[in-house]
Amino acid sequence: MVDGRVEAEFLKMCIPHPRMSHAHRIYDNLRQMKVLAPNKPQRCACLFAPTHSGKSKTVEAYIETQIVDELIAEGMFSAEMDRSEIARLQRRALHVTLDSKATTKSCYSDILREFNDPHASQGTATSLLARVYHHMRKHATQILFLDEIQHMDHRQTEKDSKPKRAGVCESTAVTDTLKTMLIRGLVPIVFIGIDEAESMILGDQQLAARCITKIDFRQLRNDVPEDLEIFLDYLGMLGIKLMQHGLVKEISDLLEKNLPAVIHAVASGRLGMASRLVAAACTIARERKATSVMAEHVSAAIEEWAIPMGLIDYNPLAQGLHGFERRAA
Amino acid sequence: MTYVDRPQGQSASPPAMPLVFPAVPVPGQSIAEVILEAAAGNCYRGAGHVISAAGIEYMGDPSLFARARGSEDRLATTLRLPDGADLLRAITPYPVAGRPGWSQFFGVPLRNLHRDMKHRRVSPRSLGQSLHLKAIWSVKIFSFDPLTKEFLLDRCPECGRRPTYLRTYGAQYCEFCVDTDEDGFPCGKVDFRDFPQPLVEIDDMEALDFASDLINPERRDVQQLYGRLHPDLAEFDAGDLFELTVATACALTTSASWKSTTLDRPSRQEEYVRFTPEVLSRAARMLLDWPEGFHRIAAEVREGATIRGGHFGVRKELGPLVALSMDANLVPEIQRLVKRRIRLDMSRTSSVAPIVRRAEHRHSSDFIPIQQAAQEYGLSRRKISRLAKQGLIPSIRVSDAAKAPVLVDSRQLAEIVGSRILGMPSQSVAVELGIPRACLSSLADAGYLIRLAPGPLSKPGGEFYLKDSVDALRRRCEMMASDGPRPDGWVRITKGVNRLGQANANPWPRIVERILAGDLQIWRVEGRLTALMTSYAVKDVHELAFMDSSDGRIDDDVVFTQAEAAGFLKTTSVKVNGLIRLGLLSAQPTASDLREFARIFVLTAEITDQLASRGRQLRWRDVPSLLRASGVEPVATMDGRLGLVWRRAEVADFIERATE
Repeated sequence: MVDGRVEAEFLKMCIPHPRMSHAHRIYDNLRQMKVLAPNKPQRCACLFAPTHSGKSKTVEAYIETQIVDELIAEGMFSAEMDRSEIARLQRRALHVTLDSKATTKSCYSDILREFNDPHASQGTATSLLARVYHHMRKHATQILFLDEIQHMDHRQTEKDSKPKRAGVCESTAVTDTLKTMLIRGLVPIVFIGIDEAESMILGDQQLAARCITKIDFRQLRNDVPEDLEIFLDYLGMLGIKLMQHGLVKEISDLLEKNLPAVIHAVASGRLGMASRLVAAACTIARERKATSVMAEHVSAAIEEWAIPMGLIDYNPLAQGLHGFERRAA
Repeated sequence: MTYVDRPQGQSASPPAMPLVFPAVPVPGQSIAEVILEAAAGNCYRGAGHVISAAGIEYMGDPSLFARARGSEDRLATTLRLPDGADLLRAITPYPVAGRPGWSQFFGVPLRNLHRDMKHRRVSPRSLGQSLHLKAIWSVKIFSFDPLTKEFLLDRCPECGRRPTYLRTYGAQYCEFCVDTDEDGFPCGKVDFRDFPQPLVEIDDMEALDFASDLINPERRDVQQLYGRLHPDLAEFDAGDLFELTVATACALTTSASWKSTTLDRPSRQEEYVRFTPEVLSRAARMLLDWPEGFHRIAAEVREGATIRGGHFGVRKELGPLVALSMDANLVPEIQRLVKRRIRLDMSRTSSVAPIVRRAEHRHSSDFIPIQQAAQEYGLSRRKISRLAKQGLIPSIRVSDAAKAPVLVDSRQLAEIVGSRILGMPSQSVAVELGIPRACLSSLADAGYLIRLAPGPLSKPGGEFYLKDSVDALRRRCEMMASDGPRPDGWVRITKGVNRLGQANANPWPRIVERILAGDLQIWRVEGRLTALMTSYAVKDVHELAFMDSSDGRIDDDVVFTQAEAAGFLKTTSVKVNGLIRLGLLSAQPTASDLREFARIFVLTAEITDQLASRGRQLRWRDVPSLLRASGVEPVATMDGRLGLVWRRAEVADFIERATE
């Protein structure tokens, strides 16, 4: 039950929402800070949320829209050039995904790899870091997105080997280095990761003090009107996008009856997970030659994808929403 | 150690990976400068990072030039120069086909030896103007930057080490002196731009520019250069002309102690200090002012001839330029051109002074070496040398040269040896006429020969006769020869005279007189014997019996040779030599000496003849024992037991007794 076209179109799809716009404004401010005070200590921001909340997507969307627009306007790339290609080639905003068990050196390597450095992992940690500084300065990088921050090695630095206090996460070698980057005014950093990684950054008081904000990307609650509005707008726009991307012939009404509540229950309020469920439903709809995605397709998707994946253990469309889920949703 | 690209068909090399920041080649940079700057531009410590990013494997030669060769496509990818492979190929020193040891330098052939492929030099002022290295700085011939005219810095002013093409903190930094930057990272400490070097100060800057423009990739239009050249030189390419400039600079800086016949070329980096801007400008001026420039250089080289090794000749005068004309690094056409100019220069300067030179280089033949004089005048070298030592003829010799040739004044020599030229020595006349030398003076007295006055060359007793008079006498005698076959019983004149056994007599004036008067009929005898009196015959011996001993007698003071003395004494020249050794005869015996010897002594052969003439035939070897048995002992014994000399008075008694 895999349709490559559907998966590809969903990857290309970008549905703006207020939280994304809010995050983009924060990114803009961080960049503005770097531009206006290039040699002063920079700040950081945090974006911690459960998986498939759209954290990485917001960064990708920021680069492909805001950054690419700027670069085209500045004449650094042609307007005719593919935007994704521009996003790949540009170095103004750097989106780095940390490798597993990231040490200081592997962290530098990941950053250098993003620069396409042919010797990203060759050399001492110092020489790699020097190259990171060099490349960033020479490329005038304005913002660094460090994704999957939970991959950071949690080992402490020597200086902090003293007995740690309960509930306080001490600094690590990686955070120390990143902190130094901020202090030296190299680049503002946005730390992105799952909730469990929050203590890795904000547990370090010095780093926490440099964090200007925690970007809110928690699950959308169905008992919070603003969250609910975001979710409903997202589903409405998703139904339109399915047709715009040529996956189905007609606009899909994903807001009919209790469909939003069911999707919300299955996705646990996570926009990314909601998109995955609708993608599965769209695949089934295309298999059944349907002109739009309907509740029966969503129901089948829950049966065939969500339940096996452990997102939910029953089909709310067939059995009705349980009370717990209703409250949670 | 080097990185080399695998030839096609072998296992694939890793793909070339582009650098983060593209290289920006500027005009005047070769592949090594481009790679080194690309390394610095990407914050790499070593140029090897760029090479390895291009997938060029490490094989053991550290030279970037060698490593890059043949991998331009890969490097273009790594350096992010789309369509840049051709550019990289143009700035890579590829070998010149058919010229081992030469490589292309921006399209101009240049000897590899002239380039420093390992160490780099910089011009601090040039770096201040544009932060780029230049390929021309790798040419060891130039100790300066052709544009700024600043002397190049080849060592770090602080650590004293020579920067290389392998590591870098940036084009302007010493790669060995390390500091820490504001971020705490290692960085270059010594900025070469803080150490400006002196500027070149010479008079002929135009010539210096010409020398550098021949190969400088940032030169002006090359056609402008060729427009200034003499047609003889304009046919050569810039590389050949540059090598000629270098060779000329080598010639100008060749030390007086240089012994080899080859050009004194530098072989080590330290020796390239010879190529000062001043020397290069002088060498380049030679090309600009060709051909007069060459002759100026020749004059300059000739001025140092006195302190140069050797004694004389073109190598002594123009040694380094002669070596230049045979220098294997110059194309044969240039070698020939230089050789032609050397010959011209030698002829132009031949009238300056009577200096010692070989014949082909001398202006006139006034002074010639003794060897040549000996050949021309038929004199022995010893005689001419003696004349020179005695001051009888002017001579020149290179001072302090033990074996240098001595030049003698040819004209003076001709005057002195005039008699030898116009005349013939008596020995030659004797051979020519077949008449004993001792008898020639009597022929002269009779007017048949003309005797020349003795000169400085004449030995005591030596005589010369006018050659024409000898020829005339021969011609006259030959005219008197009878035609037709020789009569039976004919005998050669000399043989007839000898048969008459009158060695002490001198029948020759009479013989000549009778021949010329027609009283003595002679016939020509063909054969290998050419002496006048030997090649003609008379009817028989009796024809010559007209003379008596009183008729002609050899003068007492006539000096005999040993051969003539042997004839006089009826023995051999070996025996005469033995008598001389015993002191019984002088080395140059006169007629009176021989007569005196014959009066006192007698040899065994004559005793045997006298006994035979008296009717007692004895074997020659039995005579000594008979004499000893009679109580007569020999006065002296020569080599061998039979070479005995007896006292004539004692022997006369024995002969009387033996024949009674």
